Amino acid sequence: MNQPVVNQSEGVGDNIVLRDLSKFYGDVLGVNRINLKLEPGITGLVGPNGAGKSTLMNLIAGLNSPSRGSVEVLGVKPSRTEKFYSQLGYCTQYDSFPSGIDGYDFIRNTLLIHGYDKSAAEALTQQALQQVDLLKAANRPVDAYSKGMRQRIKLAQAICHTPQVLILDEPLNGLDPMARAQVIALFREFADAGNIVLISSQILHEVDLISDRVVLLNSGYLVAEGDLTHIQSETGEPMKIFIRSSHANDIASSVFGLEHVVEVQLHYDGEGLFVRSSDADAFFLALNGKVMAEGWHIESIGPADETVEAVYQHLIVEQQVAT
Amino acid sequence: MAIFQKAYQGYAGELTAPLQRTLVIFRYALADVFQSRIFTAFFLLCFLPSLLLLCVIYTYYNLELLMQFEVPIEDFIAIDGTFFALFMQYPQMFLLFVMIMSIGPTMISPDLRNNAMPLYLSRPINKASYIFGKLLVLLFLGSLISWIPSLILIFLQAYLAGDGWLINNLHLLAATVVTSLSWIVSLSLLAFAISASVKWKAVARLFFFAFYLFGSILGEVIKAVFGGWGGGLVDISSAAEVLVLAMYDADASYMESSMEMPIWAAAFMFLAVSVLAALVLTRRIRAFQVVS
Amino acid sequence: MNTRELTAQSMKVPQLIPGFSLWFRQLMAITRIEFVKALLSRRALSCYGLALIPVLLLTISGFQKNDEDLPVFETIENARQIYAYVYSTLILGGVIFLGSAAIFTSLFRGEILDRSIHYYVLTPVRREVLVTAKFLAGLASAFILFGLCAGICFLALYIPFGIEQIISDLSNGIAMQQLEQYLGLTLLACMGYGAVFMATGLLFRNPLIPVVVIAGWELIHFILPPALKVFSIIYYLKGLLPIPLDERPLAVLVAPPPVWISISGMLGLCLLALGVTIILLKRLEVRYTDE
Repeated sequence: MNQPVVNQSEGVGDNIVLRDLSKFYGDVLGVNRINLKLEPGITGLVGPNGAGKSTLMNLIAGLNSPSRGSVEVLGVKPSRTEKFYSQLGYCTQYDSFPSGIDGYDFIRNTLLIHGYDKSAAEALTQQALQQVDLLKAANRPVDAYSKGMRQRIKLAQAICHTPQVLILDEPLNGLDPMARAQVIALFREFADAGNIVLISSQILHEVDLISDRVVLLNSGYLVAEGDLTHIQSETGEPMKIFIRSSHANDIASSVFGLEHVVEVQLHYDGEGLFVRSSDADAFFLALNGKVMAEGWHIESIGPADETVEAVYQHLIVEQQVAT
Repeated sequence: MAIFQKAYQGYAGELTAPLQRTLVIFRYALADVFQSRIFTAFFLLCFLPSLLLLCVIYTYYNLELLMQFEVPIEDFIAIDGTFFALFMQYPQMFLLFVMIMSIGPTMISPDLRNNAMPLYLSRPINKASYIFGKLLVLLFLGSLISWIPSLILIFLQAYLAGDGWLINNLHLLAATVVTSLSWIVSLSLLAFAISASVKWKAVARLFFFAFYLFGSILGEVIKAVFGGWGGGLVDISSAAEVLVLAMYDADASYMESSMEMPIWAAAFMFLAVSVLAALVLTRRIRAFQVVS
Repeated sequence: MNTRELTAQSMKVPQLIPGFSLWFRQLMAITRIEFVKALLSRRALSCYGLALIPVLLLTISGFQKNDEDLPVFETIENARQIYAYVYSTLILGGVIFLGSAAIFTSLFRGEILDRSIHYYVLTPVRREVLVTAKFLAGLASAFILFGLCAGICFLALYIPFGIEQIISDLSNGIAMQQLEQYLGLTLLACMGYGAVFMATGLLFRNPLIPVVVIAGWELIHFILPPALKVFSIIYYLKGLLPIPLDERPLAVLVAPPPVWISISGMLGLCLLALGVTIILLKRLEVRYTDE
């Protein structure tokens, strides 16, 4: 499938719009001809190391300028610094801070530079520190923070001015399970309020949990984009369906004869089965008929491979192995 | 037994000699230095003055060639200590300074910044061998562009001049080796000390240059205000000049020697810089990481 | 932590409306932050050391006797002559030059080396405001440090002559006039060198290159032909010295520029360098590679 070309006026005001975006570092390709529209909600950015995730995020945040193409965030180009950065928060991959600064001053200084007066800056600092659960450690130097704390203070710095767009480069790195859950909940709140959140992560299971849609990058190219069902259906791969039923054996022998069923696998407990079908709609229709006719009891049924991991496996890992 | 116990077993074999281990640091540091194409080009250029001087000495003794160009031989100065000090030692010292400024301050700070010291020193390598391994790079490269070509030039001159020239000028051999080595060792240790005290190599280079520039300005001002040779004690280039003049037994009227410093003071200056720098180095290089 | 509770409690964020009042607030905030970094952090220790050396030198010479057992500063005129030499050679050519290189180069290059420049780039601040604020912070810290150095050195001249001489010189205006001139010169030097080093800090990855080149150019300015002398900062500054100094041997002698040309030249250079810095900052690509 070709990438959708984003029209000049198409929903620019509420979205992040990338048009024909390319970045080259001399002979090295960063990203190439990316056309993308990111809508409010959480978008997971997935790809192997060196796929161009951080480059793409840096381009969106204006830290790097594109070799070709353009970026617009809520209808504003990065060159309009005042408007652009007042609506954007970016938690970068760089684990570095101004030397000798403590957590509180790090956030407060950011807000003062934004132009907030002292009292507003202090109130917003408190709020941001509370959101990432760092109030107690606020007066300690950032250099003495643990990795997880440094990650959280970076997050606080990205959200302290309540931006409408949050770009987060591997924000869950170094966080313990408790902090991960808190931070994920924070992103969800933020997205539910109609904001855009773009998250890159290597932990596919977590992207699965967080994201409303995913963007897959590989070797600087956009591989897929959209919600998982949509991507999965376009891969052309037989769909894997899991059925839990006490009649698993009967169902297995019955559906095995269907033309579009390419694989049937019984679950080890004998109470379920996996079915691979190249035509999911036809399979569900046929199964419905058989269940009605035989009076089988079905406990649950659903796609077993509608995960980022499955899509990643098919679109990136298998392609790499093939080439 | 089909399944073997999989536990860590330390190396129980014999270790190589300490010098051989030091040479590992030397080898890697040397390879690192030549990663820069600009430095490689500069290093090759450093042989040019010696090559030019070789041509001059050859031409000097080739009367037929000189007469072809109608050059009056009496206009040439004699090839003696003053000649070698002026045209060989001084340019070499300048090139050594530039060489040490470009690579010396970059040799320790990256290891410290990346917390590599605990890794180095957890091997059978101690502080001294680490520093010596790095110093060997500058000694080796510095020698290649200073006293080694100088000795070749002096021997060439002795061969061409004949008549017991070498016996009369035997002190030149010691002069070139001692002055070059003192200059290389003291500047290298100074560069290392700065490199070990500063986080970034770019800043370390800047500090090294500032130390040299400010030292010579301060030396000049101290001389102007107080008189005497006290200013030479903060100006390493003046001390080097004094050492060269004395060791080469050169005619001071050709030099712009601004300090009438005794040779012992110049030697003391080199020693003091080296000792102080070594002290800083032993303090800064440690096998543990300090978290502030 | 309950995020729903937090969202409910979230404060209303005040709206920031671009305009002069916002720019001024941002300018003041950045200047304050950078001033503290430049003057009150460990980074400033080397500059304190630099500024201390002339103070120590002139204080010691105030108590020192020469070979004929006379004070080093024989008369107050002689002391002023010595000060003019120390000021132009050591303070201007050494302390202010190297100190400005350290302070102003680190304003941007220091943050690139520290990998923290992106925090500034990601703020909604006009690049013009950011450059001006950083420059003002650098200028304030450099002037405080080196102005104090020049001032204390000037007062150290009076050690052998006692408090009466200071009072008399301050009251009849000679000392005050000269001190003002030296301080003005210090300010102009910090401005000129500072603006240039701030621009070169963004232009060159290795800050040593511009410092060596500019130091070399300034050192040989006295033998440069008049057409080239106009491109050296020290040419304009030396013309403003209250006591003209003898030129070195081999110097190409030219009349010093008029005061107004010196001052406007320095201001012009400063504006030009700031303009270049703004352009460089707008084109800055944040990509931290190894040094």
